[in-house]
Amino acid sequence: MRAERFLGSDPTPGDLAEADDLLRGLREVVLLLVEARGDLEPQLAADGVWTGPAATPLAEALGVLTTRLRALEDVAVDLARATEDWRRGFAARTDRTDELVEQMSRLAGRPDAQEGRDVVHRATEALAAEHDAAARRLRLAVEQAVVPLADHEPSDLAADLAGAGAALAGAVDAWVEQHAGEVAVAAAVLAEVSRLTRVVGALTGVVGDRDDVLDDEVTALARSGVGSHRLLGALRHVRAGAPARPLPRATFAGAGASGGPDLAERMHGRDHGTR
Amino acid sequence: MATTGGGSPPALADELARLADALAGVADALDRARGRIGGVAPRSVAPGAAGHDLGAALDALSTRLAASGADTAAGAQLLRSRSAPDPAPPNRPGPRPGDARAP
Repeated sequence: MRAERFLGSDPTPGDLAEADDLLRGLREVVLLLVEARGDLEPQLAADGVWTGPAATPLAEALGVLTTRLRALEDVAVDLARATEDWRRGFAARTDRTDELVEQMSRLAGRPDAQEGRDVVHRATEALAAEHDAAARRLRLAVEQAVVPLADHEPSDLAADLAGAGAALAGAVDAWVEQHAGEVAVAAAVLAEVSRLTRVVGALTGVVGDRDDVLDDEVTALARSGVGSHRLLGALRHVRAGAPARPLPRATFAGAGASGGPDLAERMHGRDHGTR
Repeated sequence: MATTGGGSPPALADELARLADALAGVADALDRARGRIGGVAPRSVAPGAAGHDLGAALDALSTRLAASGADTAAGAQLLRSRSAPDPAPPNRPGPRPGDARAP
């Protein structure tokens, strides 16, 4: 090191690059914690979902976590600020070390420059003392920054949330009991929809004729459901495409052959009853 | 929340699932923050006791980040289990004695 060679020792020890790295890391930590808290706090908004007596245990559990996130964020912010102050002064002192090294290198080997070298030595000692004082301030700032960490009690968020979930489930059960009538009506409507859905395939011809869907049932459901005119229309459409029922076989034979009137007689406007 | 007042209860499972997602995000952020802190070597940032104290402070912060992250992840896991739908009942009978599928 040039400082040790020309000044006897480095008056400003430390690693500026590592200070930069630490500062970047702390800033990233702060951003992550702010982002995390930003994801959580909307859940606790006054007009949010988790309000009211039944949701209080859950809101309290989330509140503990939010407070903890804020405390961690404060610690990271204070450490970043202390590091930044240190880094700013450190860079300036390192520049002055470089200047002293440069001055001493010009005076080196010159018997007539002892007085100049003494001046540089005194400036070096003053710079080292300044550096030490800055390090003590850094130490004090770090000590104060981590004070909130001592208040961190171990927590069990899962257990808190489990208790909160039980309160919520109780509230939902109470609501269902209170609205049992409405629930029953809704269930009946759903059952009817389910029955209608069962015959929709037949009505629309998607599945063709199905043995398990009877005409009577189809018609009854089509008349009873909401939008029955559509279902009846679909029903007529399906039945229009169905094959016609077989007619009695036409014949010129006597009435006894087909069971109907003689065709020849009918053509002359006569039937069995008019002869 | 509507479960505590009038009206209909919101889809509780959906809300719990949404909260579980938020908590999982928080846990992930805490874990990443801990990893970021763990990646620096602060003891050479400053000389002597200052560097040592800085390192100890970052260790303490890292420990709290890890603990809070694990705690939050456990909370998210619990809410996920509460918000998951009940498993559907089996729709096929199991193997009977003598059946080729029977163990």
